[in-house]
Amino acid sequence: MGTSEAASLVLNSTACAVADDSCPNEVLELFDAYGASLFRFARLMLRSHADAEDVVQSTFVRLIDHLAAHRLNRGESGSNLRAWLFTVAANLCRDQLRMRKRWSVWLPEHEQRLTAAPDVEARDAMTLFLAAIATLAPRDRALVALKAQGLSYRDIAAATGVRETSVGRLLARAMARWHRARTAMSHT
Amino acid sequence: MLTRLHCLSDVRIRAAADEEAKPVERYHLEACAECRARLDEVRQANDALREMAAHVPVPALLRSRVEQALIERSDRTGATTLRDGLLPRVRSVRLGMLPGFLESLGLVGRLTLPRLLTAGLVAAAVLFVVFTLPPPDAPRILSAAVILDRSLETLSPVSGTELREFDLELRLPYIGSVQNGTGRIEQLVDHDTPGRYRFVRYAPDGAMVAAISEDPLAGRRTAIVHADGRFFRFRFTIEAGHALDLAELERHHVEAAIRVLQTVAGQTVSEIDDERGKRYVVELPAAAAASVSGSYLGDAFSISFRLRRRQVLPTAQVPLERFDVPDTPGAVTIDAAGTEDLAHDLLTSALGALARSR
Repeated sequence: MGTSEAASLVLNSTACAVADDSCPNEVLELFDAYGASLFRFARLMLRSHADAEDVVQSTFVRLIDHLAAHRLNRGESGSNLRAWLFTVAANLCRDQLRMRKRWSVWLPEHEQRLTAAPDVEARDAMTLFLAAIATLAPRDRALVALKAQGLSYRDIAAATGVRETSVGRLLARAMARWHRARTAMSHT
Repeated sequence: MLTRLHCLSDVRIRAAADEEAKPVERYHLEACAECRARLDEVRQANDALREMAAHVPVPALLRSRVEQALIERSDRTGATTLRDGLLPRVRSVRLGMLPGFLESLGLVGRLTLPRLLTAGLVAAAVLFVVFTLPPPDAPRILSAAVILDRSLETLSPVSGTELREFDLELRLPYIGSVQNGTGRIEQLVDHDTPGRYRFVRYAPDGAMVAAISEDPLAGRRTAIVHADGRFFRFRFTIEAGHALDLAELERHHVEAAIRVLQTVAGQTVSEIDDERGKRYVVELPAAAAASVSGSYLGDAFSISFRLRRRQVLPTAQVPLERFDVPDTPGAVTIDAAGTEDLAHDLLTSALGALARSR
């Protein structure tokens, strides 16, 4: 992020604080609507619960600035807001992937707060699902993960930087790769 | 018009399954059983993907974590340039006292990459200012070799005991428990006795944050760590030959800081590979004074560093206790034998004490 963009965000942040004290409540309502979906997307992208939590938190904190700008610039539909959230989350995931080093600290408490899968079979299926997703290249992973959250081609294009007309073709390939990986893993 | 002779490609079948088909393609699908069967297959794959993704467990405390971040974020009003809410906070990633100690010395942050990078950036900026601040008319591009040379010169310029006090002003987004404001760093180095020194860092409120001292003459090394609201005092007995090589420590520190700065601020640091090997080129800002500011991960930061006092005394005039860390009443004291590996000593002695307390 460049200095000018950072400066712009700072200005927006100030505007939000001045314009409306209810920002957190509004953002929390949006979290209730999209938070789980965003987390699942980030989790598929990053493989780590802790990193995915960071991405979700940062996305919603940034939303405060975005909402402030939105108020100043007038209307934005819920659909656009959802696309914006996924775009920001996708960018943060990319940053995380770029910055991730070979050493990453894993602690048991990273997994403690998760709801356990209902049974062994379900856990195995989830493990297989995540492992197959993890074999994909980052762009394929993003396409599949966004599709899994029900995004339209337009929104997927916005979040991934892929041309909208190319989403279908790339998504088809990504899904085929995911399917092959899943099949291969289930046989081993 | 598509007919049965113009069945849809796999990509268009996928588009149809994703509700992105064109009207003419939908018309064809109504008429073509073969394409409908392919469409059903793709839809089943889509359903499987969505169903599995919907079962990815979401942490129960995620909402409260986000809420807390939002509250902290909204508490900051006015035209501040500090926006610490944007840095991800992983409070759970703590490996006990060792990282906290290293962090408090400015060496590393919490063991998450953003913290590490930010801490490295701070360290780099401080080191550059301390060791490489050029006179106003000097060239503003320095190689790492020059930086290292200057840092080593700085460490061994005199005989006797040197006392240096620095003001360190931090305006940072978020680095663990580091307080923003103007703190103080005190360095006492006996240039006549290798490995004899004391470093103490004070927070803006005057409270000691961390300290480390080593006195081969007294056969002791002491480190103070502040963690979870209390002080821990590690006392190591050291033998001759086990003293830390301060110059080497600083060299590693500078090298690590350069690499980190290169990672987070590529526009000011570049790496050159040529016949002379790998070199770093550090471009100092035109307005370089005893301060550095900029943007990190979208968050503004500024650091200023000022030599407040420098004094060289004959070592005989410096009381022996000046080479021990300050008193910390109520501190948990851990005694152990020291080696040349400080990090290892801290960790193993802390774990040993923990085991004995159980």
